[in-house]
Amino acid sequence: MDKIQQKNIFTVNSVQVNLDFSLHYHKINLLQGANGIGKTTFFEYLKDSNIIDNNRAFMDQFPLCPISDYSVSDLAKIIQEEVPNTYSIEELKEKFSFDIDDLLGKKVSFLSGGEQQRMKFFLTLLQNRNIYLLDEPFQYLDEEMSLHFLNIINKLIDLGKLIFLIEHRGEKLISNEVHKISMKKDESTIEVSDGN
Amino acid sequence: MEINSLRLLLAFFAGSFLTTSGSLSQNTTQNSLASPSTLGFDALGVLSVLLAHGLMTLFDIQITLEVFSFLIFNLFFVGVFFFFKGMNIDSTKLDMKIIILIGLGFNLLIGALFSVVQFLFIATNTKFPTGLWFGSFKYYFSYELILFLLLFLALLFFFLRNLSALRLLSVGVPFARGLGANVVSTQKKSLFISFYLTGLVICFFGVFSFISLVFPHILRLLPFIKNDMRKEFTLGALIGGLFMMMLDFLVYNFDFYGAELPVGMISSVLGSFVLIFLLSRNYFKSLQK
Repeated sequence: MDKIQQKNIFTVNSVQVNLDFSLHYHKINLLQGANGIGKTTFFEYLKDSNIIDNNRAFMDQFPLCPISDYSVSDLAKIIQEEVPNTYSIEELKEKFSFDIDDLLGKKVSFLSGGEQQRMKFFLTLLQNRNIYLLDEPFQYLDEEMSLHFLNIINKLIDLGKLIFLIEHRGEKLISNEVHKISMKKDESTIEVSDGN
Repeated sequence: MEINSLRLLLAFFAGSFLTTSGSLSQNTTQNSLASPSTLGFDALGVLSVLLAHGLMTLFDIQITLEVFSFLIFNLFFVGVFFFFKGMNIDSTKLDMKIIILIGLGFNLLIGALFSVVQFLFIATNTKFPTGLWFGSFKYYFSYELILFLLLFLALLFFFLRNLSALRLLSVGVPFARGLGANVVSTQKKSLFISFYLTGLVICFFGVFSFISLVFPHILRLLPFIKNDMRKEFTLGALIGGLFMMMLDFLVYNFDFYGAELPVGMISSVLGSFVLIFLLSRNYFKSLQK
């Protein structure tokens, strides 16, 4: 299977949503659209929808606020125990040169914005899925770390994974081939379609 | 030293239920201030007892206060269930801070109502059943053990089915949804179970304030439970039950000038004291330069 095709029309809060787009494996699928248009809402919709099969991992924009005083390694343990076929931390080092040892012992509630982002990328990567949906994964990161993450995303593509990405810097940051998906909105309709 | 095993078993189940209620409310709402008391569950339990007592006084109903309160509470429970079903609320958008404020307000209202009822009793020179206020295992019936045991087994079954979703929920709703957990259903079930268990304990044994709010915090500070939700729900329920059992054993064997101290009174004082001690010790330690 090379792509997922989605064609659907439905109404949410008296707004008509027209979905007519495709998601491609071996590529970065980049969602574009003006600020405030509802890209993150669409991303959240994808979490509960059955458009994408269950073999997927999400990296959203919500800060993690656990009820317990979890450390980063506690969260990794939860994912490794609750999700089948996850990577080990050692495997992440070998396959993606991804090192998070400096954060493992830290408490989630004490992480800075950039550290939270690194942790969330780590937890997403750990899941070893076929599809990765990433909402602004380079937020709070410096240029060097953004490029490191992008490098890892490219390695995932080489492994045949599907990447769905919301990134406002989009093409400026990503030089390889991308499949563009655009989102347009007026008072009564939201349209998600292939192309610019 | 005397051991009253039936009474101790009931104390164990009550302690387990209250601790579990607290853990479920906090885990589900992602708010460490959530508990059956701050969410207003306690208040509906107390209201059931007050209503039962009022109706029994007025109409000379030949039934025990416990059973009548429990019947009224069940009506409330069904009413709340259908009210929320009818409202068709998008629970992913619930703001728990507001819910807790509403719950606290409701609790204060019932507290005020309780004072009004108390005043009416005094004004009409009627003996006020003060035993209602502080939870105690002084009065019990053997059939209660069957009811509590059945609910305990039902609770175990719920945990067997939902422990994984509950564990993911402990990291947050977006996280759990992202990992495919059925968040809304688990949240609803957890809150209704928490509500029911609290009401059950209040109807049969009275109010044990703060246990549900405080105990989950204490559990999370224990080194062998720390940061493991599965242990909080399993070992935690066991520890909460044993704690209540131990308190009941003590009040049963050591009276205070001939009167039995209500377990609810001791658990509230002890629970809040231990929480303040543990939390402030850990917090101020983390602030040390």
